[in-house]
Amino acid sequence: MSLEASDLPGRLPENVVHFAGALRRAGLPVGTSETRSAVEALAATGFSHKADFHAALRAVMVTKASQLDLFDQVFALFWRDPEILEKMMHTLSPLQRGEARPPPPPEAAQRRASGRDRGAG
Amino acid sequence: MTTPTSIDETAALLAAEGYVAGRDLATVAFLSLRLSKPLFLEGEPGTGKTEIAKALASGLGRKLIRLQCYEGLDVSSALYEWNFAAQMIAIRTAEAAGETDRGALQAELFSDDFLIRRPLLQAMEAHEEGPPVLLIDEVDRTDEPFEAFLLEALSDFQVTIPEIGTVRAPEPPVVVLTSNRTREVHDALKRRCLYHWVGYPDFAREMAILNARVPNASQTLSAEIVAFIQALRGEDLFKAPGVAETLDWARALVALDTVALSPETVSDTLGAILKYQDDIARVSASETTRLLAEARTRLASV
Repeated sequence: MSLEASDLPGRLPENVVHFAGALRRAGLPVGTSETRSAVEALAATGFSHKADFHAALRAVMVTKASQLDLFDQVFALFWRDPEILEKMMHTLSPLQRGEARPPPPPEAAQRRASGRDRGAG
Repeated sequence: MTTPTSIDETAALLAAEGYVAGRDLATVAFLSLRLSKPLFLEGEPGTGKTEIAKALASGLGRKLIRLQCYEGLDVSSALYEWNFAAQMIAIRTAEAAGETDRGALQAELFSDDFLIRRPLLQAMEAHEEGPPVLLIDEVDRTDEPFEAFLLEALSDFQVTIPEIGTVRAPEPPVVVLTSNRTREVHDALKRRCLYHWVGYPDFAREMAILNARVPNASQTLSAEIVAFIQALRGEDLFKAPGVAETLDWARALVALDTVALSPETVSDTLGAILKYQDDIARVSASETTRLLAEARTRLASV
């Protein structure tokens, strides 16, 4: 059995990716593998009921009880109008945004790694 | 019975086993079967986390293999052990019989006959009726090294026994992990799973559970029981009663031929729903009367 993104209608896989991004910005650690699982899960459940859609995404993207409320809030906002969330994020004060944001990428380490690649090649 | 092909079929399968699942739990259970991902159920004790594994196993006609976790659980008690005592007897017998072929003795001592299969190994072996349901109960009670081991075992469903060889599950078992959240289980393990928080059911669902599990309680009594328990859960208790307590209490009240709740019957049977002396002391006689009145008002408004 293989469930692929192409089994999903229209732009849904893309929207799932955006949703994962929204969750990340809200502070939930949702990675690529979760996003992939989410697409598989949606292909399996179908899309006739919003409640099933919600339960399927929650099962793969949440790993702690403390994340449930946050997930539900982002879900409610996002699947009503994805753009609202973008606007919401901008209205948050810089301090709040800073808290929710993941730590900045280790730039120095990346430069070192890419430098090593160049050196090796 | 074959694996359900939809959420409705999953809910029906569980319902046929007397397990009243909410739509969201049925969705997650269906996904777990369909995507072959372990199901991670977290929630307060007595909310039916273990029961779902039992219902799944009997509904699917599969064997239920249970690994009860506890502090200090080690790999050998979870996977396999050599039957040391039997090996010793075999050695002594061989000595007495004057057998000197070391190779043959070695091969005999580490053969299938002396292997004690613990739950995880059992779950990885082939079963006639299809892959078994593996229940890893109260995984929060184990320690981190064991979790790491579980993570590995649940990723490949194979185990290598040096003396015998590799045992690999022909089809991955249906895995259900439960946690009472006495501590946070490591994220890496939970990421492999489908997470579901099992909360207390609402009035309608708890009524449905009670009707399914204790059918000989009258409707009036059942409604009063559920309303009272739900009111009790709103109190500040050390351990609020779970669904398991609701069912125990209902059975106790039926056995006592109770027709309707009264403050006296409640006080007399409080031990069935509250398991800590502090909680029992807190819910005094006047409290009981108040809670009962509260439950009745709520019932009247339904």
